Amino acid sequence: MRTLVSLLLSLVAIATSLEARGDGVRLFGQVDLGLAWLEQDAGHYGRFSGLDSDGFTPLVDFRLERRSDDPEAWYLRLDGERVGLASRRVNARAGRRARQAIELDWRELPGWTLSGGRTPFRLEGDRFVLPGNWSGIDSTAGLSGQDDAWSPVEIRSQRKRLDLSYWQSFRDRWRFEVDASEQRREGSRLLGAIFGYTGGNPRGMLLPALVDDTTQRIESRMIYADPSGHELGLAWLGSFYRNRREAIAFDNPFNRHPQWAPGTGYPDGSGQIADHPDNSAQQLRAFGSWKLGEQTRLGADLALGQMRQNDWLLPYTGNPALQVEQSLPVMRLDAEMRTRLANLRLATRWFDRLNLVLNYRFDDRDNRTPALAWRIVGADSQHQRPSEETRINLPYSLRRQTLDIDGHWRLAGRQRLVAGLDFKREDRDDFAEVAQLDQWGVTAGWRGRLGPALRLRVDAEHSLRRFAEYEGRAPYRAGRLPGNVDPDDFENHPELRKYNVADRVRTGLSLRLNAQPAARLNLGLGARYFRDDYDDARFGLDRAEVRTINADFGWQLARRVSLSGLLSSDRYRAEQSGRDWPGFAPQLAFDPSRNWWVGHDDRVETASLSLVWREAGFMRWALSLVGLEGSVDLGADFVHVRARGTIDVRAAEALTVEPLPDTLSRRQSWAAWVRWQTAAGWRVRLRVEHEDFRSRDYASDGVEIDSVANLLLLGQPAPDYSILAVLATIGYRF
Amino acid sequence: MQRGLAVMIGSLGVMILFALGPAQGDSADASDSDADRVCLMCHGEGSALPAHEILRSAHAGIGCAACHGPSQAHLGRNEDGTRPRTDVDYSSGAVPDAINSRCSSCHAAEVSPHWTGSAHQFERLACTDCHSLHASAGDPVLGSDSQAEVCFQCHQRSRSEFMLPHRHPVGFDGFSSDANLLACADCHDAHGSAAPADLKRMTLNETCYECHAELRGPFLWEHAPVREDCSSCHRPHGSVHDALLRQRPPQLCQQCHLAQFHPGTVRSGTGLPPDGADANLLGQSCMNCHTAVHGSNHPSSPGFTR
Repeated sequence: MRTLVSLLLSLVAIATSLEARGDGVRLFGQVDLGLAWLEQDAGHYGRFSGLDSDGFTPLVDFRLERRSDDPEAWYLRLDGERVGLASRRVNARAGRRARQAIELDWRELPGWTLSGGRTPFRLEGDRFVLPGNWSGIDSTAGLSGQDDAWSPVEIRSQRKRLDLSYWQSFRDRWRFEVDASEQRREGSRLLGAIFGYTGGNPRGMLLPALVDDTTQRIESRMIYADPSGHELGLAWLGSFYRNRREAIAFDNPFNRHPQWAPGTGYPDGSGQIADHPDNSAQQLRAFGSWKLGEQTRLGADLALGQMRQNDWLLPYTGNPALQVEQSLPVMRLDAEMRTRLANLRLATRWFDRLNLVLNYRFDDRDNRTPALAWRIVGADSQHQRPSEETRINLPYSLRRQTLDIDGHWRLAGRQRLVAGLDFKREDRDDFAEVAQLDQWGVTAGWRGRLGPALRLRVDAEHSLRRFAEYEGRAPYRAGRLPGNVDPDDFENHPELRKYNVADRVRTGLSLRLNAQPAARLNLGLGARYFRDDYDDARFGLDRAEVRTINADFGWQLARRVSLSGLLSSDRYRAEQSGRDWPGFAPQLAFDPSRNWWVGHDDRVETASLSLVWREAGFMRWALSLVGLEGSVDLGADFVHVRARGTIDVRAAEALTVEPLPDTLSRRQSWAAWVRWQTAAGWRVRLRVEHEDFRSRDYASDGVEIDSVANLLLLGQPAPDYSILAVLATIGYRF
Repeated sequence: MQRGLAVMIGSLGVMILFALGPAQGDSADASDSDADRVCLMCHGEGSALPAHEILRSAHAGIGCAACHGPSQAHLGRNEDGTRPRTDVDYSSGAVPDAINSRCSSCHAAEVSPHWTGSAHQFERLACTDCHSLHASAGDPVLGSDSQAEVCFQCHQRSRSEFMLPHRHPVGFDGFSSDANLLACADCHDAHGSAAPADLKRMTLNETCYECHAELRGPFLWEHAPVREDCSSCHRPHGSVHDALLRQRPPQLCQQCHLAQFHPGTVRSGTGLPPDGADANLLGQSCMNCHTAVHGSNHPSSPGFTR
């Protein structure tokens, strides 16, 4: 990175020192250098920007362009954003207008999940090991008083991505494009690692697993555009994911549970989790668009693809003390998904005021991964299971077909009516709960003006989804050897309906009103209501609802003073139901006194305000008093976001429930900034920001590493901070 | 990454050669043609409708008339004193098709072949509804840090979605806590596509795999809703809940998993300290154990614990 920055800064210096290279060639740009100061460390605050460490951080932004009036000449553009931060982006582009261009783009994307955790584990190579003085534990009780020597845990990652693009047009009708990218991701991610295999005996811990992977992608396209309006193209896309880690191995800090096999507790116990396997995807695509007369256009997109994964499989267990009688059926899975996609679109102006669009889409995912029998070892804690408990992997396929007809009819007075019909069919495997699903839908809307300064848009939709037959036991049976499943056996309750395949009625309404009551004032009002109703005589998701109301405005207070803002209220609600029964009393699965219901209610209120005063007159006067010239822009921004999540749990008489605390997050940010620009091109920018963030989450508030007896947590606090940041740059525009 | 850096440096070296190369062309003055200077007499810096910044843009040098037409009448006045519009009208009342055909005369190959019949074309959008050629800092919709603000002029609901506590990092309000790591165009093609919601790839999942390829599989043990549709569990723009989930686990998971013992057990405040300590409510909830929730390639992991 240092080399790159040095090179780019040298380039900037060279370019700015050049005189105009000749008639018609211009060199212009801007460079801003400065510092950001942060009051304290704040991982959550800087999780996207990389501005998360207290103290000073360099700020570098630049843009350099070389252009010519000669259309045959090359142009060059260099952009750098946040070059001093972990979220830097540098882009270089060169090309000849309408002929060819090459672009190089480098960007870094930080990601932060948590800070302030602790773990007794340390990494030795690829293995999480315990300290030499560790004593096996039966529960986590008391560990929070012993963790002073433990390792701090921060879960964060950094993506670094390089993109290279090139396009060229030739013979006026042809265009060739190629895009290539490589993204490297490094850092850590949160992993749950357990021992034990059934209710009552699992013991586990959260670990900061390392992340070190690369995704390479290349896409090439050849496009032919005929002057008569036809267009044809061919494209090939390849994407290759490589993970430098095959597995995550870890010691067991817990003593052996009586139900575990010998040699599985501390100090002999060890576990192993498979990391994400290498995979690849390729897709060949042909597309085209044809004019059929002056009023009609036909478009087609056809794509054949393949996703592959063929990593070496790990053994059933990483613990040699466990008995494995039957070896793996294969050493590599040879997993394959074949995809076929077709999208056909016919758009026509049937007569002067009526436009129609007919769209057919075929999306087929054919999973050809072999379905094999696996005699598993339960979480590195038991000997290989008996053959009657063999599991079979299920390679899920899906075919979706959609037919849409949409039209809009232009009425008098700049009004438009829109309407549409759609039909969708989904086909799944025989071992899915629902083999076939159909959905019929209708949409309608109106756009128009209610007077010279008022525009209104109203939309409504309604759809009905129905399955032919729901076989809740189908995946359970298909995932086990024939003859080993009793006809009455089930895993999920027979009354459960999974919402992604359940019968559903969907209704939606939205409206948007835009008003300009005065020449300098724009107002907007929007509302949206969507509701999904599922068959509520069953268990599972019963209903989901989204309600949004928002208002926004833009007000030109004076010629150079503008104020804009937004107020939004969002509400996400859902209702679900279920039944609680223990496996040792299967008759209770049909006891309605063990029913429970959960209502989710997530509410978000958002407000933002932004004031901009360009070329403030009084500042120009103030500058003149000290002998300075130039224009000064002033501004202030404010954002408030408050989110509250409520989960209301109710139960029938056989169960005891207590309320769950609401989860809450509140962010309040304000900023004031000033920008001084001189006629000579110099400029100074100063921005002061303050952010106050509060959160409450019962999953982490007051939760220590030993809060759960059989689970070693990290004990990290929820984000909570109040922070001040000052950003100042000095720049030159030429 | 060493190789990538070398490629980048090498490419930049090529560009340095162009910068240092001999001057090209022998056109008129370095700034603009005579015709453009006429326009700039009224539309120059400091005027009520400045247009001079286009001379620092990709459209510099093509001339005002290339987009606005010869517009000789615009130099005069109507009988009522108003100024006749330019030959090609880009005002808010102009016919979108006329504007679009003008832009397409040069940019047809860059616009998706799916424009006709796309959502934006269906809503009668003109190129100039999103693109601003005369902006001082370049066309905002082409800048990664300014694009979202353009989209949010119409997609107000998306603006509030990207303010939610857990979101993809599409920034737009200038705060340091909202770095502009992503732009709308990283996932969507505003000119139309063959995918739902005008996504760049052919399906939603393929779009997600652009950045999250580690979840593409195919895996030995598949989690069916993951394979079908990432939005079964996630809200791609933003959510109240961690990991952009629609609802919190375990209740989210219990919408599809309702079996004996822990999958069907009702989870409430009885499982929180000091009354209890339920591993299904604390920490990572179900993912304390079922960590490979997107699918697993471990032979002993039908329950996604390995």
